[in-house]
Amino acid sequence: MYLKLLGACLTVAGTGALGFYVGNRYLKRVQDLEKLINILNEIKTEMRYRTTPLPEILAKIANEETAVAKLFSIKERGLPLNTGLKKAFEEGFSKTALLKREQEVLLFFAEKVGTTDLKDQENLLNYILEQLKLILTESRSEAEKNVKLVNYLGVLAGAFLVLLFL
Amino acid sequence: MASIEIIFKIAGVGILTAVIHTVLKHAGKEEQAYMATLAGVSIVLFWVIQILAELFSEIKTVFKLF
Repeated sequence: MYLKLLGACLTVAGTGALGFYVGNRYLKRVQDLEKLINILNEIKTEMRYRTTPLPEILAKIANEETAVAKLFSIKERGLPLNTGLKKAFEEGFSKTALLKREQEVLLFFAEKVGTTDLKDQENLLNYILEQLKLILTESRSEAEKNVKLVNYLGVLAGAFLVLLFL
Repeated sequence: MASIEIIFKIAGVGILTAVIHTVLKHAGKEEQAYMATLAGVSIVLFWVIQILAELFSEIKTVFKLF
């Protein structure tokens, strides 16, 4: 009897935790996108007002501790900047909550950054920022809608399973 | 032999299905809400059909229909 009760509690706790985990992914995506936009704004400012070379800016950003900032740390030396950045992005994506859509925008950024003159770079950054802001707005409304739902559904699914198998 | 337990089980599934339906409907996922309700109804129907089959076979034996 007690063993059954324990099993039931564990099932509900497990599915509930799964629900909270999925809900948290939605929130973390919003946070990561906000952080990413801040970083790209920083790159834009550094480029425009201080004309710092791109590798220096990237190294400075990569010193921060967040997973999104670590995306910009190029580990392999000797590669062209674009290839190195692209590789760093591809390796670091799994540590962030960013999804395919924003990943593609970032990969496009990695491909094009540092290949043209300053004015073109600014245009590129503006374009990337606009795209990311659009995604951020969408992900915010998505999170608002889904976080509560996923939390409830996790616990309810556990209760359903317990009822079904008890 | 079906016991009183099955009635509580059916009631539980009913309550949970109603809650899931409400939660999904509030989140604007009406299609999924109806699917959840349908799933709940099918599960209960599955249990009830088994009990009904038992009932019919007992009636057959009582009235010596075979």
